[in-house]
Amino acid sequence: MNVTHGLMPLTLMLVVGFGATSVAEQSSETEKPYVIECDEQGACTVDKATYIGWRTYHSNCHVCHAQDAVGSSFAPSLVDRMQDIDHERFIVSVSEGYTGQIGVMPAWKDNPNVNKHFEELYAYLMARSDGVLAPGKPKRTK
Amino acid sequence: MYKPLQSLAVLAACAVLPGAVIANDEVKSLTADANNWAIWGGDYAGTRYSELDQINAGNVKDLQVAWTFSTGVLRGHEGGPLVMGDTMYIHTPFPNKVFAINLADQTVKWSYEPKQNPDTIPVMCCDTVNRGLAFADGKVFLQQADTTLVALNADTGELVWSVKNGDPAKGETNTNAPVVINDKIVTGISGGEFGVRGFVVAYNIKDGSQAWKAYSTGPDDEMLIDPEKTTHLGQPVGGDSSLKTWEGDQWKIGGGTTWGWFTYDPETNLVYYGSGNPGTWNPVVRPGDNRWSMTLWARDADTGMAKWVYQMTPHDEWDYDGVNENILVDQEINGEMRKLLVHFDRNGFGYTLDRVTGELLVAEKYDPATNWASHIDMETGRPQVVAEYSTHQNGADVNSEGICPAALGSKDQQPAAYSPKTGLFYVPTNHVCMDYEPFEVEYVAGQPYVGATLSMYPAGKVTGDGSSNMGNFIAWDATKGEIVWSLPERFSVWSGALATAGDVVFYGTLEGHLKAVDSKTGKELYSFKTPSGIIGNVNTYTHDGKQYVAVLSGIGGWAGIGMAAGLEGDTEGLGAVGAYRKLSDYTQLGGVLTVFALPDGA
Ligand code: HEC
Repeated sequence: MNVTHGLMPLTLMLVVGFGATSVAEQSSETEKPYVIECDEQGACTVDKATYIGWRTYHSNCHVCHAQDAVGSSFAPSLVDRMQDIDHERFIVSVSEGYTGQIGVMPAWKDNPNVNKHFEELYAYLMARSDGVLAPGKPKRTK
Repeated sequence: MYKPLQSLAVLAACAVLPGAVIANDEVKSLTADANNWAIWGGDYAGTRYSELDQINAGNVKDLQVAWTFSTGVLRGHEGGPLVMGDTMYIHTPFPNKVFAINLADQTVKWSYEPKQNPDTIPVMCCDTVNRGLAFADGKVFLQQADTTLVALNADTGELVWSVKNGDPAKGETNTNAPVVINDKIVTGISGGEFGVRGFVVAYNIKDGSQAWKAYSTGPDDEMLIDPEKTTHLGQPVGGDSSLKTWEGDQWKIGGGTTWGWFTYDPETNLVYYGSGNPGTWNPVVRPGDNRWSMTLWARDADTGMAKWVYQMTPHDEWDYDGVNENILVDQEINGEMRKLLVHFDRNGFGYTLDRVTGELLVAEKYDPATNWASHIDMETGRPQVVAEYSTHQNGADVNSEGICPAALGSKDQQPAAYSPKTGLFYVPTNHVCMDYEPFEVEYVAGQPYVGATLSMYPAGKVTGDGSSNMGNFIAWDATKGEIVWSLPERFSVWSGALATAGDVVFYGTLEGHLKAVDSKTGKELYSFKTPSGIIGNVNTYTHDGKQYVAVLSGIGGWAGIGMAAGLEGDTEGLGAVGAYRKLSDYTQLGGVLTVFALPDGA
C-alpha cells in the first residue's frame, strides 16, 4: 500500500502506478488537506475529511457545479477554479457567497449542513483539483 | 379510432353566444385556430399537435432558417414562443425578459424586464429556467422567478397588475408556465429541494385577487379535499388523508411542489397537474406514504376542489417528482371510447387513466431500463418496489447502486406530443441511472434541504447492453402501454416535442439539433444545428398564410447541470470510452430563437 499526499496526475497513477517515495518528494506533504492511499492497481481510498467533503459537496454544491465538481452550464468547474484560489479565499467565498462574471453563488455560513464542513469541502475539492482523486464516490480508508 | 379533443374545442367555441365572451372561450377559440400557438401545449389538452400541414413528411427536408433572434440571456431556455395573429411573445430565463415581436418585420414591439433580487438565483435548484407565458383578456401573463405573477398589456407591455405568489427567502421560486382557465389564472410553486410546502393557486385575471389556493399536504380544508367526495382510484380518500401519512409536523416542510404543466378539460371543467417530491430526499426520516406528494390531481377549475387524486410514488425514495404534463385525449381502449389522461412520470412508468373518474387503466415502463419497481399493482395503484433499489430499506448512509431511472427521471419537464392521426404519443426521454445515498439533514428556511448524494450515468452501465446513449425519442401507444419505435440520442432529450398534421414530429437535442422525423416510422427527415443546445419546446404557427416552426435554443436546465459535464470518470464497464464527450464539446450557452420555413415557392 502506497500513501500519497501528492500532485501525481490521476492518469499517471492509473497507468504506471507509483512509489510512495517519488510522490512524497514531489509534494510538500504538510500543505495538502487530504490523505489518499492507493494500491498497486491504482485503487485509492481517502481519509475521513475528504470523504465527508465529497458527501457535503454532492448534497449541496453539485446542483450548480455538477457531479464531481467538473462544472456545468450554470457554475464553473471547481476542479479548475480551486487552482486559482487559496484556502482563505475559499473560506470567504463559500461562507459569504460570491458573485462573479458567471453568476451568483449563495452564502453558506448559515447552513448547518454545510458550515460545519468547510474544511472537509476544501479537502475534497483540492483532491479533485490536484488530479489525485477520480470522479465518483471515494472509498474511505479503513 | 381516435377523436381529438381539439375538434370538440372548435365546436364549443362556435357555440358561444356573441357578447358572452369570457376568457375561457377566448383561449378556446385562440387555440382552435391552428394559425396561432396560443398556449404552451398548443391546446388546453396539452397535445402539442397542430393541424398545419404545409410542412410535411414530403418537403420537410427543404426546411430553411427564416429568421433568428437573440434573447441576450445565457441560461437554460425552456418553454416556447406563443403566437397570436401578427405577434410572437417569447420569454427568457432569469431575469425573465419578455419580448413581443412583430412578425411582419421581426421588430420588437415591446419588451419587459422585471427587476428581481439576484438572491432568487441561488434558491433555484436546477438553473434559472422559465417555461413560458400565458395569454388571455388582452394580457400576457408571466410567472417570474421571484414568484411575482405579472399581467402585462399585450399591446404595450405595460404592467396591469402583479401579485406575490411566495417568498424566495423561504426557498419559494417559480419556473412554471401559468394557464388561464375561465376568468382565472392558475399557477404553482417550486422549491421541493428547500422544504417548500407545495400548492396550486388561482388568481382572477381581472385584478390578480386570489380566487382559491390548494396545498398538496396538510389538513383537508387547506388541500381543498372533501374526504367523502374526493377519490383515490374510485374510493373516497377519507378524513386527514395527508396528515395520517406524515410523522408529526413534517407535512409543513413536506414538498409536493407544483412546478410542472397544467392542462384543462372544458367539458368537465377539471384542471390537471402533478405534485413533486416530498421534503428531504432522505426517505428514512419521513415514514409513511407522504401524501399527497408525487400525485396526479384533478381539481374543479372554479372552486379548486379536488375531484380525484392518484399517488404514483408513495413514500418517494428516489426524487421521482410527479409534475410531468397530463395529456388529455379520447381514444379507444378494449373497444370502448374513453376520455383519457396520459402521463409519462419521472418514475419511468407511462400511466393512462380515465380523466373523469381517475381510474387507472394502463401503467407500463416507457423506458425498459426502469428497475426500481417491477410493475404497478393495478388494484392498489402501488408500485411493487424492488428491495435492492429501495434507498429506504438499504438505509441511511448506504449507497444504493444502479437504480433506473436516475432522479431526473425517464422524462422530466420536457413535454410530449400526441398525434390524433397516428394515435401515438411522441416522448422525449432520458436514459440515465444513478447511485443514491440518503443521510440526515437539518431543515433551515431558505437553505437546500436535500439529504442525499447522487451520481448519474448512462443506463447502459446498468443494463449491460453496451449502449451509451443517455436519451431516446420514442413513439408510445398509451392504450396498450407499448413503445412503437425508439430513436437513441447521445444526451437526454430535454426539448418539448411537436406533432403536426403534416405527419412530421419535431424535437430538439442537447447538442442543439432541431430534428424532424416521420410520425409513423421515426425516420429522420431533417436536422439543423441551432446556435445552442435545445431544452425549449418546438411550436408552429402561420404568418401571412405561411407555416413556420420556432424553437428557443439555450443549453442549461437540470440537463445542462446534471449531465453537461460529461462522464469521463464513469465509463467503467461501458466499453465505449470517449463516447461521453462533454456536452461542452458540442454546444455553448446562449439564448436564440430560430424560426424555420420552407423556401418561397416550394
Ligand atoms: C446556486 C448555485 C451554486 C451552488 C449551490 C454552489 N455554487 Fe459555488 N459558485 C456558483 C457560481 C455561479 C460561481 C461562480 C461565480 C463567478 O465566478 O461568476 C461559484 C463559485 C464558487 C467558488 C469560487 C469562488 C471564488 O472565490 O472564485 C467556489 C470555491 C465555490 N463556488 C464553491 C462552492 C461550494 C463548496 C458549494 C457547496 C457548499 C457551492 N459552491 C455551491 C454557484 C453555486
